[in-house]
Amino acid sequence: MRPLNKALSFLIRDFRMNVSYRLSFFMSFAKIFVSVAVFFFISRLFGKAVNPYLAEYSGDYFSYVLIGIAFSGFVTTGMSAFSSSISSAQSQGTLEAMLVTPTKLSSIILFSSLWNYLFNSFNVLVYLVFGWVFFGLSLSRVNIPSALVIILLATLSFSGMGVISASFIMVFKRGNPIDWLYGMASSLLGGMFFPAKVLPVWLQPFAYLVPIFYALRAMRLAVLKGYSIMALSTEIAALVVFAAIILPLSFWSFKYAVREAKTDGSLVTY
Amino acid sequence: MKEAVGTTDLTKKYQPPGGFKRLLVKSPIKQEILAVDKVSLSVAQGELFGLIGPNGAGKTTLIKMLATLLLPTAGTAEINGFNVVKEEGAVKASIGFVSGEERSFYWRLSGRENLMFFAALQNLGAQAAKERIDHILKVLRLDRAADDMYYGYSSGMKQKLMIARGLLTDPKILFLDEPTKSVDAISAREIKQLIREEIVNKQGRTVFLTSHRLEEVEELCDRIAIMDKGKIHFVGAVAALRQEVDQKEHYFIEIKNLSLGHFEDISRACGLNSTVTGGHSSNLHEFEFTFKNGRQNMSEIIGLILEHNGEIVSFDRRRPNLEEMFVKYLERSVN
Repeated sequence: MRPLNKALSFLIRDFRMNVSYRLSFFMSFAKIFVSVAVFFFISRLFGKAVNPYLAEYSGDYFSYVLIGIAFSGFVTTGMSAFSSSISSAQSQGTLEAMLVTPTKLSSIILFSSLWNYLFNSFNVLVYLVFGWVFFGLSLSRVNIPSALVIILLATLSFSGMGVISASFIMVFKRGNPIDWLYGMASSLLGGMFFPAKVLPVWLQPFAYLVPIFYALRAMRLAVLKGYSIMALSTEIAALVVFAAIILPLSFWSFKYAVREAKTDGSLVTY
Repeated sequence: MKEAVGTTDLTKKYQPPGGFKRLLVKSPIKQEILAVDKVSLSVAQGELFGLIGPNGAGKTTLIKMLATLLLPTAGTAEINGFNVVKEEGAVKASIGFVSGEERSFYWRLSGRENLMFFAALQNLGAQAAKERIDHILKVLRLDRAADDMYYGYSSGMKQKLMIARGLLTDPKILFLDEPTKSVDAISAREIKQLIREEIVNKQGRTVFLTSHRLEEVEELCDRIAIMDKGKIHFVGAVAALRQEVDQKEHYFIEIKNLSLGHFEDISRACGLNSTVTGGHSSNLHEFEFTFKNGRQNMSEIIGLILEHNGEIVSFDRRRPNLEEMFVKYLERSVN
C-alpha cells in the first residue's frame, strides 16, 4: 500500500505543478499538432521516393515517422527522467528534505519519473489521435497486447540507461556521456525518422546494438501490421537481453554514485 | 537516562577528488579538510541540546552525518539506538529534520499539499496524514493559510511550515538547523515557545538545535556544545560555561556629582576593578566594576558614594551573556 501511496503522491505533486503552468501545459498539445502536420506534409512531398524502403511497414512514410516520433518520447523519458528529477530536486532545494525521510533514494527517483512516463504515454495517444483524426493515419490493424509488451520491455531498457545517466549526474552534476552517446546513436541508427536500410552498408550492423532499433521496429509492426507477440519474438528477445544486461549494471552504478556523493558531501549540490 | 543521540570519535574528512574525477570535476576542496574531528557526544532523551560554533566549525557536517545525509569517515553515531550507517532507515524513521532552507518546499503547491506530499514519503497513510497535518497546522497557527500557495508565505510562515514537516511523524528526535533564521522577532518568539513548551516540555521529544542566535540558544537549551575547527570544546549547561569562562559578576553604575578621582578612591577602598564606560555629561559618569575577591558588601560601596555626595542614577548587575562567553571561550581556546 505504501509504495502505491507514495507513487500517487508524486503523481499528484507533478500534476498540480504542471497544470499550475497552464499556458505551457496547453501549448504542449499545440506543439504535437504542429509536429504531426509538418511530418504529414513532408511525407506528401517525399513519400513516394522513400516508400520502397518502407515496404515491410505498409510502405507509408507518414505512418512510419509518426510512430517513430511518438514512441521515441519513451526513449527520451527513459533516458532523461531520472537524471532530470535529481537535477531539478537539487536545484529546487527539495532533495535534502526528501532524503531525510525513510523513503529510499532509488524510490524517490523512480517515483519522480512517473509523471514523465504518464504524460509521455498520453502524448503518444495524442500523436496517434491527431494523426488518425486529421491526417488519415490507419490504426485499424493495431495489436494492443503486442504494443504494450514492447512498451514495457523498451521502458525497462531505456530506464536502465536512464539510471546510469542519473548516476553520472549524481557524481559529475552536469555532462552526461551516456545520454549524449546513446541519444546520438539512437537518432542515427535507431530508425526514428528513416529506416536503417538507407544507411551506408558498413554502418547498418551497428543498428543492432541499440535497443530502440528493436523497439521501434516491433512497435511499427504491432501498430501498423498487427503483429502478435509470437511474431515479434526476435525483437522481444533482443529487448529482454538488453534489459537483462542494462538493469543490473544500472543498479550497481547507482549504488556506487550514491555512496560517492554521500562520502564527498555533494549529494544535494548541483 | 536513555541516550537519544550518541557519537564516539565521529570524524569526517573531505578529500579532494582523485584519479580521473579530478580531471572532470571542479571541486571546492583542494586539500584534505578535517571537518569533524573525533567528536564524542551524548544527548539524553527529552533534552534540548544546542550546538554552537562559528561558521565553518563543522556543525552542519555533524548534523548531516547524524541525519544520514553524509557518511562518516571514522567513528560511530547512534540515533535512538540505531547506527547511522548500518540502520539508515530506522534512523530516518526516528528523526525529524528541520533546516533553515526556504527552498525545500514546492513553491507552486499550497502548504497543506506540500505537507501531504512529505507525509507520504514519511510512510503516513492519506487519512492519518490529513489528521496529523490538521493538528500540527492548528498548533502552529498556520491553519488559515494552509491552502495558500507556498510562495505567498512570509519567512516566518515558511519556517513554521518547516517545523510542521519535521513533526509529521511524531519523531522522537528533532534536528533543528537554525530554526529562526530570517524570521522577525515576533515569529522567532512564537517558534521558541513552540520548541520549548510544546515540543520538549509537553511532548517530551529530544531537540538537537544549531543556531547563530546565541541568545536563543541560551534561553532555550538545557545544555550546549561549543564546536570549532571540527572539535567539540565544551559540553555542558550555560551556567557551567559561565563558571568556566567568567565567574565574576559585572556591575554598571551611573553616578551624578561624583568625580572620577573620588570613584577611584572608592574602588581602591572596596577592592574593585573598575573602568569608566561612559560620561554622559560633565557630572554624570557610568562605571563598570567587578570585585577582585568575590562578592563584597554592596552597602559599603553605596555608602561611600553617598558620603562623597554622589547621586546614584542607575545600578545594574549584569552577567556575561552566551555570546560574550562564547567569544571569550573561543579566544581562550585559540590562545
